[in-house]
Amino acid sequence: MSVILNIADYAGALWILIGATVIDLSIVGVAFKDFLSKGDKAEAPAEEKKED
Amino acid sequence: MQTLLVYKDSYSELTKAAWAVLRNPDATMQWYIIPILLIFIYIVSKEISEGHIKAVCAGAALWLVDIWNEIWNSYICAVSGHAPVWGTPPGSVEGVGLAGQSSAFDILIGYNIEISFMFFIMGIASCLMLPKDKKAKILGINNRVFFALVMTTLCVAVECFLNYANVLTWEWSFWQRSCPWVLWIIGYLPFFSAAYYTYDRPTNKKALQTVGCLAALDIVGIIVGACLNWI
Repeated sequence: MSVILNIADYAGALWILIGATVIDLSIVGVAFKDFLSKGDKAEAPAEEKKED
Repeated sequence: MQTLLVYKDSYSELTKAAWAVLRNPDATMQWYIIPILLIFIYIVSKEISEGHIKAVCAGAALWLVDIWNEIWNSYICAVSGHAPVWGTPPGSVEGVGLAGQSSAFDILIGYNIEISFMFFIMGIASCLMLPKDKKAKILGINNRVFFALVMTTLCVAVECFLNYANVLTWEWSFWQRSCPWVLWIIGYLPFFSAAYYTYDRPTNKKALQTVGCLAALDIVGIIVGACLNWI
């Protein structure tokens, strides 16, 4: 029984690891998509100027 | 200070040692952390006074993504009943040949106050070294991607050294010096990706919004962890 519980604990840890990895890789995906995008954001300089 | 993380007999010896000093300043606090706090305040104040708001936001972004990783690291320790993926136990654990130095304050099972300051400052520093043109290429690739890859690689090398020196412990087979690519992908690449993404937001307001989103993720993680006694 304790072996079964132990496997369940490790499975829980694995699921946490998978979920965390998905979120971490999503962060990388969003950032890299932005870095590698070719289109410039036209509104950006105007907005920046306004803020300054 | 109350320790939320539930103690389990099944924890490894290193984890038990780390648990014993978790959020226990009576046992660990040292004076040197105060000058480090002042150095940190100086760096942030200087950058803000020079108008580098986005660099400070980038530092916060890197720091918050690290905290996210530290939260799920605590979850894994609690749920597995074995060990965190990475741990920062105190020195001189009986029967384990650890270096003799300890942290001034262990915030989570694998996260201490020194790491916390380090990551915030590293986020700021890593953005100040970026070229102004976010589209510029280095060796044929976008400079942001280039710097993220280089900084990630350097940080993993430092982590491997810290593990070799026994101040950072790794007790899971998939997280070892023999497979550093796991640390590379999960451990550090998201940090620099988040920092550079935040730094390149078109306005300070959008950079702050990005920091807010990451902070929300951490707050949810901390609340869930606190409710379940996992942190």
